[in-house]
Amino acid sequence: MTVQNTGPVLTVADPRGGAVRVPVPQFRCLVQLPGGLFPKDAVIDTGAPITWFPENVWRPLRDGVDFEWLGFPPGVPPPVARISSWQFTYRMVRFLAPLTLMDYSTMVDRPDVVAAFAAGNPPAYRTSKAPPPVIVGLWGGLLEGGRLAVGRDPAGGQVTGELEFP
Amino acid sequence: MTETEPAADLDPTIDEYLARLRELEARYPVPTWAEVMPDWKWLHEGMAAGTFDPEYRYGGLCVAVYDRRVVGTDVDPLLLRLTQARELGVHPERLVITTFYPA
Repeated sequence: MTVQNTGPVLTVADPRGGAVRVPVPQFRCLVQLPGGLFPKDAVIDTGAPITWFPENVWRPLRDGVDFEWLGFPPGVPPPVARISSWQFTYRMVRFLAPLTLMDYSTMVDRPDVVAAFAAGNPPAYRTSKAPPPVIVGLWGGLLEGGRLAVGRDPAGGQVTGELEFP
Repeated sequence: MTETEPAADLDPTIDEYLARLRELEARYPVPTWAEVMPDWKWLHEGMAAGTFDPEYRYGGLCVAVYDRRVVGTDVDPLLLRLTQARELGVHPERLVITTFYPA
């Protein structure tokens, strides 16, 4: 499955002469959620411990049909996380139907995915920067068993990515 | 409130947007993946080739794509979907909406 990269390209001076172009890539994929008409785009983030869903994505999902809440022990407040400039609390859920990772030719069902639903909105939701899309992290069942191969396009120099599930 | 009552502490504005989107969806035929997929493909191929937004002027924004072109931007993906679906007269899910991190 091909994952897409995006991001700004920085240009830095090279003491050997000229300049070096520095891509700031992200790997994107599409994730089909239960009950959804079409997939949502997501960032594959190997630095993220778990998978995160922003509220505008998870809110239409049905409690008890698409997912179930996994409660923290009594007295334990929802933990706080931070992604980019967005700080939020979250709760854990288990999906009751498979999520599907997909591109334009491949679909991979991922059952029993456990993920985090962000609560509240980013503080600057309406006034500054857009919230992040779905963050696909390491644990929880979406990436487990997969292999992410990172390469470089020999012609253009862009970063390339392939996500495989052998 | 208890931890099993998640709705009470959430921003009602999202519910309001979702209700408006559902109203709008009822006015139009449900699009097919065959209609929507080419826009995702156009976007992702442009990203991969570095041709979609080489100056990264969409950094920090949500971008709406329809028929292989950018039709609008906003910081709020739900508002963007609602606004552009109304302007274009299409089912809201016909639009491809993506988000770019700030540069």
